[in-house]
Amino acid sequence: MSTATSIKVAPPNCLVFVSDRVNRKVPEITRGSSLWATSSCILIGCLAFMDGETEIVLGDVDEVGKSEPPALDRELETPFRTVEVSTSEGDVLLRRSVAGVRTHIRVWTNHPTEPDKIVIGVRSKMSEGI
Amino acid sequence: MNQFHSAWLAREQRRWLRLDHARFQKPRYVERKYSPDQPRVPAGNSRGGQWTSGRTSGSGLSLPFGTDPDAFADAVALDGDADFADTIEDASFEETESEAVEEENTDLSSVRRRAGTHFVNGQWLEATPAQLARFEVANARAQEAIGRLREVEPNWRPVPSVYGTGIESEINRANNLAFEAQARITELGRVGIGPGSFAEESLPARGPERDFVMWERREINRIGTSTGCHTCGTFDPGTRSGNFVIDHQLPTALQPLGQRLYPQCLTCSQRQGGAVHGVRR
Repeated sequence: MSTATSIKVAPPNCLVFVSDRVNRKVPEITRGSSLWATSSCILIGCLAFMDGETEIVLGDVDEVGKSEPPALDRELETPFRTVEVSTSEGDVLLRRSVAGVRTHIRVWTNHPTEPDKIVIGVRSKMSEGI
Repeated sequence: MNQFHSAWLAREQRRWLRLDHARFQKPRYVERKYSPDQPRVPAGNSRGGQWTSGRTSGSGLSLPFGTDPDAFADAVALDGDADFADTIEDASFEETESEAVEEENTDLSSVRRRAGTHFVNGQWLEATPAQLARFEVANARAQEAIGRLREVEPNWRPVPSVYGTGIESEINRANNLAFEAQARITELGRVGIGPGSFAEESLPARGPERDFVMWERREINRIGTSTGCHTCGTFDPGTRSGNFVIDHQLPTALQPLGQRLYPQCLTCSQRQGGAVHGVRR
């Protein structure tokens, strides 16, 4: 049974946050990329909101992972054992419970600066759409 | 009994009064009340009976309290009483011998009395009118900057600093507050919170939603092509489509009312997202 969740959205500021519920340190954004990360927060740039929606998929790595190498592969601090995908205005788009306080995250995007499809793979057990 | 009372009072004062309590009390010399000994202008001239500063000349002429002798003499001359005007001019700057001695012995407290005591920032401070004016200007600048800043960052607090006492310290405090708030406004402007330094033309927003219609996109692209991103000034929007990002100012997450639309590049829009997230926390 699939536990992956997905949403199509045109997020404000063409950006989504992947982090635990609190205690996130936002990385500095530089030109020419769509992925920025600190140990507690990952920012993923999306298609500009006035040009269309971006599909975001959140699921287990084994389930949603792709054969090609990920655009980002790193550990994320998850002290509340949750991974959330949220917007700059604080709206939570997707949420998934994870097993440990450090979670392995892999991100696949279909464009280097402005992807309209983002796949986020995590090591977890349960997930829920918001 | 009186002795016991004094001892008790002294002990209570040590317990309850802070060491610098005098700083918060109205100085006694501020109490300027009616005094029957205060001299008046003698009868026989138009200002007879009014209070005077007590400055008299050898001719015995006194001027009303606070009157500029030159101005008074001019006014009298205009009235046509030239002799009286000459008398005033001769008399006004001559000081009696006793006054000269008093000037020489002037202590600091009398100088301060002339400067004036004012209630500034919850405490009585001695200040000249010039110092008071400088404080008012600095304070107005600080309040204006803090007001603008708190529209976007309601939880902003200045960095705690230690200042001395006195009007000059209060002026420094107000100047530093204004500088700090203005620096923060500039810093937020650089990350897209508030119209940036390249902002010129803008459109009124129909609301905080991002349901833009075709003419709004066209107008924002036109403005962006002529003036660039309102935050960084670049003419390259950085988007796949070549459209400028339509930016609400102030950002919807901070102030969803009375917004305007500006053109912004993709990177500045994303930076703004990170900054808005930080400010909202």
